[in-house]
Amino acid sequence: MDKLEQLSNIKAGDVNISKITDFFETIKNVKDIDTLGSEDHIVKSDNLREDVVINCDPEEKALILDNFPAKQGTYLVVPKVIQ
Amino acid sequence: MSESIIQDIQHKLNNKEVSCVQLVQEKIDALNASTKNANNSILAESALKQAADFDKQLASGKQLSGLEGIPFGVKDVYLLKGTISTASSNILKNYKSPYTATAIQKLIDAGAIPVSKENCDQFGHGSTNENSIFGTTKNAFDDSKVAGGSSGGSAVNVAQKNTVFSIGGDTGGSIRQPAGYNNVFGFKPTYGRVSRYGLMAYTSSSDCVGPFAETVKDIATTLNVMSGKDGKDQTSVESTSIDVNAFSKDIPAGTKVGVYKTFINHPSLDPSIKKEFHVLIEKLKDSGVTVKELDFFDGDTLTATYYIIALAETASNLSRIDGIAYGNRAMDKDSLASTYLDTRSEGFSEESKRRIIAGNQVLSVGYSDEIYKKALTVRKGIEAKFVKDFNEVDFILSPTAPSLPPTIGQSLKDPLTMYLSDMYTVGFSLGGLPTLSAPFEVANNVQITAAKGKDEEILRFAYAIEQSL
Repeated sequence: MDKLEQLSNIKAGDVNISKITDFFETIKNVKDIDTLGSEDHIVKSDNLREDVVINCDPEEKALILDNFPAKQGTYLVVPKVIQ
Repeated sequence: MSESIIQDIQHKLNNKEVSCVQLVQEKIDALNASTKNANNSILAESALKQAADFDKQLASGKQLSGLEGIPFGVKDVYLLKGTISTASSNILKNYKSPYTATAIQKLIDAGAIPVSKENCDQFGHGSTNENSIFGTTKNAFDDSKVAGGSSGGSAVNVAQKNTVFSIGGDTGGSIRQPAGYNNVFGFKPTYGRVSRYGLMAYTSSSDCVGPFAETVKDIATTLNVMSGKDGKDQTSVESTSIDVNAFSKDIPAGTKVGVYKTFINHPSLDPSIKKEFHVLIEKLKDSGVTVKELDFFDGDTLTATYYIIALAETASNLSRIDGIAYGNRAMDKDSLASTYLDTRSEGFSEESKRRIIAGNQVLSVGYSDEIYKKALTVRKGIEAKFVKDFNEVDFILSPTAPSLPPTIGQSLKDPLTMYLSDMYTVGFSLGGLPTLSAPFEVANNVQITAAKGKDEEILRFAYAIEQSL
């Protein structure tokens, strides 16, 4: 569980995942899957838009900044990355 | 019953039987007075301003059309610029939408007026609407029962006539099942028909935007407005507009319907639902419809396949919510790692944490090949089976949920039962198929499914049934 907590960035605490992991046995036991004729329902991305930066409008920019959790004056405060 | 509540209301507005401000104020009063916990926030100020603009247009002699002046609700997982969009979570409790989701913007551009951000299970994680920081949404007809989920608030608002229509999100049944529990229409379109841009992602490969309404025509009208290719969602597709005025009251001759034996014979299907479903099938046979029994995957396999894929995708999608650029951050921690850990541990509910942790397990070494990739292969098998089935029949009819709405609190004690209650809806999600949940004299509604892209055919068929019952 320690590794999963680390991967998830979440303390598991009382969270019990055993009910979900019961599904793992079910899927392992599925046999004889006929995939002939299946078609991807996800649309192929063969019509990509241009990879260009599009500036958002000032109102949108203000809302994005307003959502930032910590500020000091005009600075945006983030946790220390290097100790 | 009217054929279109939208048309009826617009008729009244155009004939000046009611003003748009009066109409919107009535809805806002009803939303405020509701004791169902269906609304996370009510958009009174902006809605009344838009309504006043329409009244000015009416006063100048203009006749309203399309969706002009129609109040509607929005599940609180859609961004609506300037409003708080919480996903019913603690971590986004104060998050202000910087822009508006494409589907919602199209409705606003067509003149519809958003009046509520509606309660739902947190990030779509649930089938009962109990997983919300705003409390459990109560069933429209019984306060002791759940509304269903995850789009519970949207279904209840339409059932109570507090919104004319509402926009939900359906990943594994989140529109169809609450529509069933609250006796209204709910539609999951073909995957990609409506842009997902601005919808908080749960399971990107099956998330769909869809409407709740009281009539088939209103479902079609709102779907028409939202549909279409969007450059901001690479999975969105072009579609043709549905001709609502061409709907016929007659079921087309030669219509063939399939029924999955594994669904109908499942031991957990409530006998009363089974009986009512059979009565509907017999009525359809009397109307000239041919009914064919078909084999299909069992409910346990469908549920396992869906949840394994959904867990993996939600673990990935929600990894971006860490309190750094937005969201409620745990402050004054020693390091970046402890900031992430505490922010996410405090910000997500127990059910969301369960899904994220299990999703990371599914994707980790030792599990990804045996579990996740196997689930993707089974999904291919399910898609292949649908292709074969729709070579034989036009529609598949099925119950929406095996049991009547559970009592509030019951599902929290046993999440596995809640997951298994999705067995009739998740298969069609995995296939990306259009499915209508329709209140046709069967408890919890009946699902009508067709092949990909056959959204219009479903609504035409449903309209004919609606008119004949």
